Amino acid sequence: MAVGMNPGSPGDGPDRDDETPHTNHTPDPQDTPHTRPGGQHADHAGHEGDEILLCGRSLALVWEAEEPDEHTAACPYCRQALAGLGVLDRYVREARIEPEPPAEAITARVMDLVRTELRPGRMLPLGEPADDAWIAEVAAAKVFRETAESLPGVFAGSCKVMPIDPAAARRSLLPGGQDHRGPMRVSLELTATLDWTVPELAALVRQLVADAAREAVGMDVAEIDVSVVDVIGDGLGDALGDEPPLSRDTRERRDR
Amino acid sequence: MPEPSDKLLAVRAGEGDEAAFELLVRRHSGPLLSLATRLLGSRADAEDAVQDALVSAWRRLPEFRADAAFSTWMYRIVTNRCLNLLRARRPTQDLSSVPELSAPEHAASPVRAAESTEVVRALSDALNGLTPEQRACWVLRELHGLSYEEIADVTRISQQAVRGRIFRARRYLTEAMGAWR
Repeated sequence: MAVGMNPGSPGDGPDRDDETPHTNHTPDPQDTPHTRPGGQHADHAGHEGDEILLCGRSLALVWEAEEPDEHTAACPYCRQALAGLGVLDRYVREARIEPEPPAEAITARVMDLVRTELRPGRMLPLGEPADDAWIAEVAAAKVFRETAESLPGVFAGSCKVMPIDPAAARRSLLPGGQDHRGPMRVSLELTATLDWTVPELAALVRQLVADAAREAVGMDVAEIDVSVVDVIGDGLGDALGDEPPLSRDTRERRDR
Repeated sequence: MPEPSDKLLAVRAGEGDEAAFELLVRRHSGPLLSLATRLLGSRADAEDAVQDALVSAWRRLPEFRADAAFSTWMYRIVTNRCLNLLRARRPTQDLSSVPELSAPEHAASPVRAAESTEVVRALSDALNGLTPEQRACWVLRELHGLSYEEIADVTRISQQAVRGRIFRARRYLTEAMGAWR
């Protein structure tokens, strides 16, 4: 057996692991009978629970090293330790390539549960005051996001719909708050491919959302804030290699 | 064809968009189910744990800050749930009751598939000898490829403590698998 207790020399281990050992360690029941923990030698051990090989090296550090150094490559104790880990690694490689269990059933069960949960959302006014018609913010946001996503290479993220009047906006945040009728503000965040410039995309989406608010939802939307928060597939066109990046002029002509 | 990012979908799901959440669930439930199965050693228990974790995530998404990756956040919820189940199951079997196994020698042979299953089962049996915390750190590192930093984030312990647990898990497993005596 190659492993045994040996204090080694303090300078033996690589100093990159010279971190302060934590102190609340309870010894594991699995400490093997033929070795002893090197915790009391934590000044050069990888961590407590470490063991010191007969050559004086820390077992933890030998195992953690990316490549064996000159000593490890030649030392029979280190090599035996690495061979032991190598056998374990063969099991690990097999286990890693196990196919993932099918997850369709779990997806269906989770979504069934999610759809039965009521999330009390904000209610927003529709039409004229006399109509007393309301729509859930979630439903209005869905329409506005889908409108923006009708454009190629555009995904919609956060979409908030709120009264422009700040006091009414605060009241509307209360559970069941729906006492306000008045113009609304839509705040929509987008991510888009580099085919778009921010100003042209923002202007186009503002127009589409205004149309959808009036025609599809019937909501009085007076302000529309559009912000492009991220780009998708940075360098995607370049990676494909068969199409040079479009100049701004070309893009604008193409998209009109 | 570009796909919406996890970050964007998590924001939408947090605002109540069920379709966005469904996409996230489709994307992540496979790896999460693998993780839970490896931690619990039982597919049925793993399915329950992942289902509970995902429903709990839906409820907590309005407070989710997108500065953490959604996948890391889900790994944390699933790992915590599994750790609680494993702790409730203790004590685990001791080392002497783990059958000694030989190494997989013919990984490229035609009977590889059957042997692979054997190998995975053997490893799964050996994992029962680890403490829940060692098991979680080792599985996240070796089978799911997380960095020490990511594991520290998922398990909310220091990187040094993560390294200690992984070392002790390796030490135990090399012994249990008969790799080093």
